[in-house]
Amino acid sequence: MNIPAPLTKLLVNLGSSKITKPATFVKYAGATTIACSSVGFAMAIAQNKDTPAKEKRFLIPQELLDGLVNVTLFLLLTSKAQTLGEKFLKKKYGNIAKENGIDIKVAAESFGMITSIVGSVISQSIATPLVRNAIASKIQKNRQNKADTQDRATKIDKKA
Amino acid sequence: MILIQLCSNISKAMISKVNYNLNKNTPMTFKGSSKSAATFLRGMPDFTKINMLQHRVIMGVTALSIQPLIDYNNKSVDEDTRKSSAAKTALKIIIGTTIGTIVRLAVSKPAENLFHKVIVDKTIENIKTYLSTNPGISTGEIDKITDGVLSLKEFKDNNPLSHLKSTFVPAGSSEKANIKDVLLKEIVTYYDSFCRNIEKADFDKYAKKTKAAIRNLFKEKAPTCIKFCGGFSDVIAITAVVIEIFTLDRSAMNFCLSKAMKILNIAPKNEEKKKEGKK
Repeated sequence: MNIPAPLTKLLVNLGSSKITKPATFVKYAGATTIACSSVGFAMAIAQNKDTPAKEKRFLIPQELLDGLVNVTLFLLLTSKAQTLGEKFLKKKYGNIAKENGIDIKVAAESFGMITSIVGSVISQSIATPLVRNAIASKIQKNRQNKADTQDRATKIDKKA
Repeated sequence: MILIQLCSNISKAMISKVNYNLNKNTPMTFKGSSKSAATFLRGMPDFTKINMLQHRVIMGVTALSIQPLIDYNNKSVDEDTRKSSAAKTALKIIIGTTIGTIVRLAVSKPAENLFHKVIVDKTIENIKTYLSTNPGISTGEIDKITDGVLSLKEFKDNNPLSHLKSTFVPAGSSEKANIKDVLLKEIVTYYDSFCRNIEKADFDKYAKKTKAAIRNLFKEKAPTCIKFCGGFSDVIAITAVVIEIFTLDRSAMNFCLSKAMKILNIAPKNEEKKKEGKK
């Protein structure tokens, strides 16, 4: 079976990046699945017949914001955590590694990977729900106010 | 069982040490007060071995233990919304992690094995082709190496791969590593290390084995080769996960959300009746 050349190139580049930059690979792969997941779940909520319209007004923006905030914070925090981890190890153990013939780059890569995972856990499980809830509740209140105003207007019209 | 296997995989990744490609015979001499730091560096687990599957489980478990609590304690919305929000978040994490893990597990390992088989066979083929077009090295020699029938002395004295490193691996190619460079570097490094470090008893053990056994040897000895296969299988797994999110996850979320809304008594019974009446 012949795989088309552009697809092979993409596959080789992506596969290679897992070796050359493992933490970066995991970071972008994670961001892709988070973004797709949010869109998919928002679609599921919108289609769901058992969720009241009022709750949908909160849950759909909450889900989409979850994706947006999550991807942004995920990329930001994991990148920072990865860089900080690598820099920390190189600064603290660079000279000692050199003296003992240890490749500090390899050690820093491994340490960067675990700090990036810690960063991704903080961004996804703590920072994201706090930020998206705050924004989504504001959106829900605004939409509720608009809906209430429309209801009042229609009631007045009916009375008139 | 899946959980036990995953925990075991994660712990294996944690236990396996960073591979510095050091010669096994190099004495571990540490200078002065740097002894403990050097021991720490040498003993550091190789976290780069954590794959997408393990990463998903770590994220899923931490998210499930924290996110629904944050949603349930969100005082800026009413109680019904808080309940449905926490339920939706918990459902999302459980569905996403469970189906995502199963899909990754089902796709990742077979893809890795397939790539591994193709890559190792192709690499051996590449080396044979190279040797057949370069004077001074016969294809017979590489046949002997891959089939493991060369004697230890012959192997050490006439290691035909040791001087190929500069040909196959151009300087500064690590950033733009392509498949051939990476794998050939790995195979050359592996054979170099194999020749230098192997004991007579070990060699005799391997000598009787065939190409299939050499492939197994790669699994044990050539970490980059494995990582490369892991890289490919992760790319395939992510593609499968994206498809799964828009199909299985969406349907499962829709079904579970309906059940949750009914259990929590939030489902719009009146609205449904009205809609049915209209129809």
